[in-house]
Amino acid sequence: MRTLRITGVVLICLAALTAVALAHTPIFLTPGRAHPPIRNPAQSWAIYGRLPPGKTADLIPMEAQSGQPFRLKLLVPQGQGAFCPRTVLMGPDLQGEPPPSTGLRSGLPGDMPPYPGRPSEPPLTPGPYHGAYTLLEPAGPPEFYEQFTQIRYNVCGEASYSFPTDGRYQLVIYDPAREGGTYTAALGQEERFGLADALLFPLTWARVHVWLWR
Amino acid sequence: MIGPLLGLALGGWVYAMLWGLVWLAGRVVSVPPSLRWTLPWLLFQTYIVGGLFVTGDLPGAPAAVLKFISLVGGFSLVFGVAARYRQGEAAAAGPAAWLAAGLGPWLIALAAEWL
Repeated sequence: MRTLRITGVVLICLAALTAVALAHTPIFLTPGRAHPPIRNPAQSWAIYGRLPPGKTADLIPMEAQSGQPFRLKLLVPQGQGAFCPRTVLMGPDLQGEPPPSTGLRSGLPGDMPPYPGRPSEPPLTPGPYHGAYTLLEPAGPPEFYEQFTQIRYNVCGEASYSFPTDGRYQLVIYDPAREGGTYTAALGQEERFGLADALLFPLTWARVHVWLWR
Repeated sequence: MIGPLLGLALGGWVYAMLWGLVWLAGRVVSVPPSLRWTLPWLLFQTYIVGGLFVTGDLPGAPAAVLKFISLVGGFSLVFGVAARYRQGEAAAAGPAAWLAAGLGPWLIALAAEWL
């Protein structure tokens, strides 16, 4: 019984240490496959993506409501040289120049690929009455240590805004240098973490490291 | 912050209890002590490797499997050496038993990379 007690105490100490970090629900993007829309972009999500070399982009659709917060931090695991993907938010009512404090600027970047992958796919342009905001270079600290998964990241951009109207928005993430690499998009800030998440945590940790070490 | 803390603390307890239950079941059915201590480690690694297959993360990532083999191998070795220095039945499970239990599922995953 003494061993059991010691094991329990050790596990609780480990749990307390890791819980200092924020809890994000993980999403693993499959290259070349469209991801279903994120229904609640205000909830905390950690989107793990891998851009292949070339003119490709990852698309992350979101169903948002007017006034819902849009928080995004684009992170790149360290050790990938100068890899720093660009992020564009496209959707309804994204018109006019947002304040610089939002971390966004109006308009589409000129180096964005015209299609997500193959030219047979729908082009990457905002529809009628839609607009696009691009993430600015980060103003805050360039490094970020994620304690849940023990990964050290470079911050490639950070945005804080409110969705202006109800509708379907889309995050476009691509590499202007066309070299590709791995990234994590930390979206939202409403934490949801229960017993099921805790029980699945060892598997989630392993999935994140397979994504990183692949 | 209390949500994640509570969730992980509860999760930790559940894993600790599962570990204890497997150990206890081993005692009831008279499993040899070396196996009694390492069976929960084998089941835990089977859960991870099996989960990675179910989610589709494996196969297709041989570099990641090799890194996991070195990581799990390192932990297994530490547990095995620590067990050697313990008194009682835990000492029956040495480094070889811990390594076999920890690495078994990962070696199967590595073999699947070539199939």
